[in-house]
Amino acid sequence: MIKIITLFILMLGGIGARVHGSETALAGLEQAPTRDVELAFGRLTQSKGSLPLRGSSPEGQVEFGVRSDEVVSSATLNLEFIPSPALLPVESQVKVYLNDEMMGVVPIAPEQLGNKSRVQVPLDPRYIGDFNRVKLGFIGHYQRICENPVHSSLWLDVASSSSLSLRYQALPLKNDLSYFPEPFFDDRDTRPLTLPMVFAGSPALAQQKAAAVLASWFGAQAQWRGQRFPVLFNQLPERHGIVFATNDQRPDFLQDYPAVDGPTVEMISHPQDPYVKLLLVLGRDDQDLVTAVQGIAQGSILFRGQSVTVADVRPLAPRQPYDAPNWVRTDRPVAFAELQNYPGQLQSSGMEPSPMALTLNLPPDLFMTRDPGIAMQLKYRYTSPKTDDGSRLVVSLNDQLLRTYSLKPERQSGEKLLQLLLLQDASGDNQLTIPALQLGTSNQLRFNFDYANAILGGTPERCETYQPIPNEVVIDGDSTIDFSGYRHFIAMPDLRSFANAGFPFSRLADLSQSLAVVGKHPGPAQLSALLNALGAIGAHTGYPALGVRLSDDWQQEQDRDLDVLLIGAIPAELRDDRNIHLLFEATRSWVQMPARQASRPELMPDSEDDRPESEAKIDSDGPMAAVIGFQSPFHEQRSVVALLADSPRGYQLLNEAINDGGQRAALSGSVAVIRESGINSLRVGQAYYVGYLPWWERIWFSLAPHPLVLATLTALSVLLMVLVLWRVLRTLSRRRLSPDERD
Amino acid sequence: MNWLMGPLLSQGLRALGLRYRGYRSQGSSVPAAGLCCAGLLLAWSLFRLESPGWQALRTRHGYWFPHLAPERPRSGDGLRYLLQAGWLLLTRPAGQRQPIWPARWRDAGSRRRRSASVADRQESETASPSSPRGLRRIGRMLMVLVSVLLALLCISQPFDLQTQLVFVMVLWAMAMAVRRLPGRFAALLMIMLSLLVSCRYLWWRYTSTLNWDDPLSLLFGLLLLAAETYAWLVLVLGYFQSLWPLHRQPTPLTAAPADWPVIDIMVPTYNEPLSVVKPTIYAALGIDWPKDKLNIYLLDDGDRATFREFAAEAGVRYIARPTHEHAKAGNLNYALRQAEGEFVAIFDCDHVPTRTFLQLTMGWFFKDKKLAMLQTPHHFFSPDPFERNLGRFGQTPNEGSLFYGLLQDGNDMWDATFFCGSCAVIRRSALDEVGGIAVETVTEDAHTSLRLHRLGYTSAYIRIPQAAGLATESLSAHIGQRIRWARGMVQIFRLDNPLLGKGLKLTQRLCYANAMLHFLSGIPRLIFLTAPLAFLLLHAYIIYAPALAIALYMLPHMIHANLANSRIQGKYRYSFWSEVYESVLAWYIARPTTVALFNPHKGTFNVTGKGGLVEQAHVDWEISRPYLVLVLLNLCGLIAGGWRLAYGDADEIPTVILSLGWVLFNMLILGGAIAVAVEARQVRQAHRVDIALPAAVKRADGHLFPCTVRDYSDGGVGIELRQDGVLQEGEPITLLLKQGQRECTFPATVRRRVGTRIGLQLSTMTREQHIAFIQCTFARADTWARWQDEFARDKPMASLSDVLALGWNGFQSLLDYLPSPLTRLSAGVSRLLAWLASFIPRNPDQDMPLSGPSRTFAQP
Repeated sequence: MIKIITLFILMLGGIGARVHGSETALAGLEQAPTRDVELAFGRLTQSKGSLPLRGSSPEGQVEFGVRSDEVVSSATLNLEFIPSPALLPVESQVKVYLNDEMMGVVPIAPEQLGNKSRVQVPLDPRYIGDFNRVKLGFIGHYQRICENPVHSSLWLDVASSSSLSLRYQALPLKNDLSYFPEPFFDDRDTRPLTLPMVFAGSPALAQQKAAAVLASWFGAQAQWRGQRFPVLFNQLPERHGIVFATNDQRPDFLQDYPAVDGPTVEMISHPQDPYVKLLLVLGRDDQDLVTAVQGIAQGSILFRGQSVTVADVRPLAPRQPYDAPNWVRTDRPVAFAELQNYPGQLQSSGMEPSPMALTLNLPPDLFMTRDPGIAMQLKYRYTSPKTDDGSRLVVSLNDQLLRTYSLKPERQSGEKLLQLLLLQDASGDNQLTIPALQLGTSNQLRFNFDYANAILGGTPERCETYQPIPNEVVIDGDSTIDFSGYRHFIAMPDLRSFANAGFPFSRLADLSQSLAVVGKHPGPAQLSALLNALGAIGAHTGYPALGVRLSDDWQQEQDRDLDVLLIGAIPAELRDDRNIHLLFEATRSWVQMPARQASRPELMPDSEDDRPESEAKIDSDGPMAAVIGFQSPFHEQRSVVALLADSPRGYQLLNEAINDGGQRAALSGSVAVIRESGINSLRVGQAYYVGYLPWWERIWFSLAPHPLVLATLTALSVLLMVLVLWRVLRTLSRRRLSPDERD
Repeated sequence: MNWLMGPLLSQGLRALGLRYRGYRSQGSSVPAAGLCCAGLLLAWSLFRLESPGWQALRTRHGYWFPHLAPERPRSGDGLRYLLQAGWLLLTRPAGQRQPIWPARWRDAGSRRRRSASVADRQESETASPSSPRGLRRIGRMLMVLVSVLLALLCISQPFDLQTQLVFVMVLWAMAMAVRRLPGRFAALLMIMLSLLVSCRYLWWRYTSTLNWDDPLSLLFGLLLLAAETYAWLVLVLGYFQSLWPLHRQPTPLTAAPADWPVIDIMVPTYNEPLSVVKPTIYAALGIDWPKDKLNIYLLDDGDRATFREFAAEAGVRYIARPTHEHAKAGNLNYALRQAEGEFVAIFDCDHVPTRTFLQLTMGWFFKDKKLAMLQTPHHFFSPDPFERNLGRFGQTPNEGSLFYGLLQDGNDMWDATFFCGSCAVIRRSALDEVGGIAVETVTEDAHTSLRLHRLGYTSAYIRIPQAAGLATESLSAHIGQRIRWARGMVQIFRLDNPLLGKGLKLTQRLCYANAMLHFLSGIPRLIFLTAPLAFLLLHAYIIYAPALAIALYMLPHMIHANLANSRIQGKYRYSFWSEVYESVLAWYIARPTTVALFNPHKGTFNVTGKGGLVEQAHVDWEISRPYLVLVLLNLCGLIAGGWRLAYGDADEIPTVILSLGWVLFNMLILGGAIAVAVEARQVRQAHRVDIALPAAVKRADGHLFPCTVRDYSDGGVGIELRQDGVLQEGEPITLLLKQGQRECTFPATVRRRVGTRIGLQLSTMTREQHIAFIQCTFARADTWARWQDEFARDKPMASLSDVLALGWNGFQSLLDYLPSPLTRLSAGVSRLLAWLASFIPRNPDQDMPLSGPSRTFAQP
């Protein structure tokens, strides 16, 4: 409820401001560029699919946002649906609301019953604001008297191919940095962020670092949306973009721009298209650019006007390991309230309240194997069911059932201590067994209140119907989940943890223990790979990579205790390393295959299966990219992740693999080959372990599945001890019985 | 070090090379010969192979290892030797030791060893670094280190439930395998296994069963954990105490009788009737010791004229002191100032000494000049309240058996035998050095021996009863006595803590600490009796773990502890009886020990009453009140458990069932405590003692009939004739008994006659006759020798069902004494249960006696 009110207030404010602004704008700029967008329901609904409306849950909604540099000039709702054949025509209807304003009614005609129907409902663009909600209300009837409002024949399925046709019109924007990061990043835009970065030519290391930090900062803003940073050399972008320029080295289109006397961030319009904005990051030299980017990352809250100069950015306290803002705290129990992403996430209402979900991002190296479970203290409140009818609360993790609790009629709240079981549930109650459920890097904890709603229907002679009352359920924000006290220990190489969490680089959120090795004079594709990779890590951590170190000479950095991100190619010195199981050079590639492919990559490595068994060399002209992970040859606790590509197309493949969530999921093991067809991952070679696990815990870990070995050791220990004890006691007793032997 | 070891090493290497070549020439393979050489090296560094014992073993190699050829080793021979040695160690009966270590167990051997070890020591002092002895010590240390590390791993290794199940089953199988094997080695194995499993349990409890999120659960959980830690500590110390009972035998008096020391026998009394004291004094008069070197003192703190007259008549010295401070200790100290003997023997006024008491004990004082105190067991010929009220006299070892049979004997190994107030001899010079009997605490005896030990004096214990007395006759008196002991021990713990202070060896400190800790069992026991209620009534998770895990950790801990204890103390206390004994006392010693712990000077001395009667069977309601309260609480727990089963959370059902099982066990133990409080009738003033003693009866007509005395008391004798029908009821006869070479006659009347069994009542005896009777019966040297022999071997499961049946009987008799229709109901229920139980099949049992010893009716 609170959520609705807040949204409503937000919208009222938004609409007022927007309507006023757009009218004036529309008057003057009829030729403003427009784009037509078709938003399919399949992407908008919560379930990412069709929108079923039923008697028990007659309402469905989709939401969409509008960027601040655009306005919707016309909108149409294209509804595709199949109504139940049992409905009474005309009495049954679908109401369409836009931001709670009625936009139209779709009566169900007799010929539509049971057939796929298409209806267009025009939406009044004046009611469209920043955040918008299109709500469908289903009013269904199947008989005239004594109707059961939740009868199973009351349904209407809105297909996922239904869509919103929107015509966006660009708005001319003032060059005002106080809106920053808009329009470069707009959080109402759910599309992946694409932000071109423009350099005068192949940039020096410091300039690359500035770009990398900025990319990771934008990645942190973009979060789940995805991000892409195409790189242009001395070329104007076609959309909002970032331009790096020093006083000496500038793209041609900025040649006559006045020199700056310090790190400066400025927003200007595209010289050819006033609707496109450019963010200039300027400085006297490359170092100034880094400072300017740091200013963006740490001080954008103070930005205003068209141009700002960054006077100074000083770090005050170093980041601690595992303190990334996007990760669940591991130093103390975390309240659910800290984990929620938006207000109202932990409450729900309705006849069948929709499930509530919490996302838990965990450091990938939490060592939780063999732990009995994670303590979760769950408090919840609910509308009590009238009878003990089997209504229940279902708790599931990553779509796997954890526990169910029945909702008792006499109570309205519950409090449960729950061990999130990581292993087989051997307590045997409820016949509930969880198949080796494991927490991954990103986990969804879901709470679903299932009500068995009893509807009193009555008989045809004496008919009584009741207005069904929606059930209100709340998970208390004070509920806690505790990930503290776990050791950090993980078998590497593990590309899955790199793909899903940027590990091991993200161990320090500012990447201050990471080194990115780039090629000398990188081309745009290679640079783009660097920016995309750091942007992805930023999206995982939620923090800019302020501490990252860049180098183009592998040799110089040997004695630094850092994790290494290699971009482009394996340095020549490493080519003979036995731990590198995939190599390619020009058109020739080598790969080593494991003795047996890991069936479940998330399980602990098995050195027998992973042993390299063969090596193959293939020559081909086709493009290819690869991601490989291996132990740093200089520090045994450090890792190298290499992003390799052989051609511009190869880099393109690589960038797609890093940015696309679906493709990223296929990255795992120690070697991933990226071809036009997709990604193939292998786990091959000896695993190495990163993190700290005391020697005794290692022994425990290795002995845990071998009770017979331990029993033998016990017998041995007891036998040895008794042998010694027996001899000593025998001597002692003899001495006791002959006292004069004593001194 | 290196230059010292150098020549030795090269010599050894040469010898080893020779041996290797020898093996090879006999046709051994390279690995077999190499392994054998390595094994020899290891054996040589661990054991004294050159010693006569090992030499003897090696000469008889073919006998002990018939399947192994030493001159031509095979590759698996190391394991074969190990297995065969283990087999021999475990299976060889104790009597066959001599062939292996012929010298060790004979006197001649000990003499040899004495000289040898002195020589050894001198040798090791001069050339310690290079001697194989030093190496061997290092080898042994390494062995201990390795085994301790392994043990730590086994204790701490976390397992999930299935693997834990496998693990504990294997350990259990090991324990069961060695359980029946004879010898101390197997007993030590059992102890070590039990220790390991219990440590593992406690480790698990501390590391993974506390719920820090819920304060209520945490509170109760910590309470239970503290109680369990206490129980663990007592278990460990108990194992330590009984690791190696010394079985000290009497040693001959080496000096000529003229050089024997003067001994004062002191019999303190306070309020006991004269009839109790008389036999003691009479028996003391008959003790074998030169009369001029033996002074008997009757120390009457009650200052009674009859006692003074009796002492004068009997010819013993009478001492009554003008003031009465410090009770028994004060009484003794007052008398000690007037006595001048070199040794003092102390007997409680009801402890009748046998004639051999001094002869058996004094030898050790000659042998060990530092010996300050020698204790013998307290033996009771009357049933204690447990035995009487439960009807178990003579069927199960009594409560004291464990202490005098095992613990004191075990203490003796560590030179930590306590003085127990009676039946002991003390060296006067040592006693004077510690300022006489200690008066600061109410257990003056233990405190005195603690002080003696602190001065470096030694103590000894001979496990042969040399005196016997009366047990306390009522439960309340028994409890009163235990309260006194408990308070006294805790007082010592506070005032003169054995763990701190000077003079004691670590082993002595541990033994004393255990004796004192033992009496703090009240509160932990009460916690165990109520712990499951915290879950059933208050829903506090006292052990925060799944029920199955609790079972998989706790049960092995309990089973192994019981198996080990059954093995080491089964002869002296049957399994699970401790539960009953401790539960009865728990409530009563909880308060005084706690008070004494905080304020050791509070509390008074109470005298243990003896020689009284219980006129009528009754329930001692006052004594059993706390148990009734506990029973009611547990009953509430049962009801709550039933409710939880029916309506509670389905997830908790295993936990509820586990708790209910625990509650039921507690209920039955409490039932046992109540059964003890049902005081059985006790009317016979003089207690019968069973014996088999050749004697004769003379009829008035002068006919003599040989007979066997089957039992006797202070006023009557039961005899068994060889033929039937020679005596008539009411017939006056004369009984002839032998005392050494002397024959004594006692006039008596036939009271009862059942076949050949005759009950005689002794006529009023003169003083001389009475002395003679006591010396012919109670004071005979062999009277109490059969002590302990009549008990069958402990069977834990049988004992458990015994104890549980006892608990059930307790409830039944409780209802019997309730004036209500409940009586009939309970009778019906128990008849039904007995009927159901009669269907259970059972094994014919050879070990158990068919019934209690049958008795004739010696009626006073």
